[in-house]
Amino acid sequence: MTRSTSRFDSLAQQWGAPLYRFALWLWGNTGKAERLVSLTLRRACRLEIPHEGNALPFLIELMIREVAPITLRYRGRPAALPAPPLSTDFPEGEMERLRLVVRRLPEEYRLPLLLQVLAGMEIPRIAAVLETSEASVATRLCRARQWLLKQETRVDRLPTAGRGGR
Amino acid sequence: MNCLAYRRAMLEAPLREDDRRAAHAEQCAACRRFGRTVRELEGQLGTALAIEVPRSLSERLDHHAPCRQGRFARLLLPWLIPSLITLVAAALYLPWQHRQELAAAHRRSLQPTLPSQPLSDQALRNALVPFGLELRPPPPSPLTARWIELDGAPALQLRLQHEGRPATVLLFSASPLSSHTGPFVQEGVSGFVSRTEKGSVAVLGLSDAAARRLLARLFGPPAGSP
Repeated sequence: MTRSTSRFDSLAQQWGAPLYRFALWLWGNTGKAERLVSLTLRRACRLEIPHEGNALPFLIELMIREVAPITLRYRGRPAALPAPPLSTDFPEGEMERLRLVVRRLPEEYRLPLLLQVLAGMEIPRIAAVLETSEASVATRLCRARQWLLKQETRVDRLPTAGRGGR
Repeated sequence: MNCLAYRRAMLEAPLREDDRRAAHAEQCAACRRFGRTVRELEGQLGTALAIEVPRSLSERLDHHAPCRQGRFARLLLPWLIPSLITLVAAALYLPWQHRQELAAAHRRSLQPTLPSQPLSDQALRNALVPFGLELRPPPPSPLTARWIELDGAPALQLRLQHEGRPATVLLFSASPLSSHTGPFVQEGVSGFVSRTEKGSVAVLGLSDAAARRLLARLFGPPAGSP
């Protein structure tokens, strides 16, 4: 077994699952997710990985910057979110419902959310990865969660800013 | 921090610890409930996104995954056809060029350069030994023998008269002429090339039959002939 192969295997063992999860959530295709993870890890084998203990943000950044560049569409003002679809076809079970809602979230909003929740990136880092401003990322995150809250039919339960609000 | 800023901050990063947020939530019951809802959603979101990964994932990840194969194919295709055409043209041109070079070498061999001093009778007899030949008596007269350079290799040149015509006999061990045996006509000069035991002999300026007669006259009939 060559040195690069053993390094690939080591990276795959440690970071293959979270990377695959991220790719699957973003592209929604298992074959493509596997291929992108393979390419990302192969690329990473030739690089010095900073913070080996928590290489996930680095690897995800590598994936969406070099392996599957998707940053161009994030420049400029975020597009308005479409109207929430009817929620009558929600499957049973809260987790399944939430997964469906996330899948329905437009990619422009889903990617910053995935970077924050799955990769644990802070807003400045997300902005750097997507080559956009921090304000734009914050807006996307804000709108994405608002959308999720509405889709989760929590809108009825959402407290409004009442008299006690400031 | 007001309610709007609190809610926006919560929607941006629900899990971030912030004293200002905590202070606002202490004072505003509605925002406190909102914050609890958003944190609850965040917890569920983390669980929902953590989908199960196939156990065989590590084995399925390909160490040799092709890198943008489709893109490479698209880039290579426009170059592939011209390259093939070039290869075919080169394959046709090179043998033709090789034949041309051989012909040029042949022509050069017919124009020996760097003539040396004529050899004496004894020196001529000694010079014929490496070719496995011996001059039959009586030697023709006049006969001029000298060493010349033929395509970078030494060759023995004999000049004499045969049947009333001037003739040249070349004896050599390695030359482009060696690859050819039999009669030839090159640029108006006819000749004949024959193999000896240890080299080749060429007769220039005579017809095929006259050249054969001259060789028989000089060195006897060729080996194997009746």
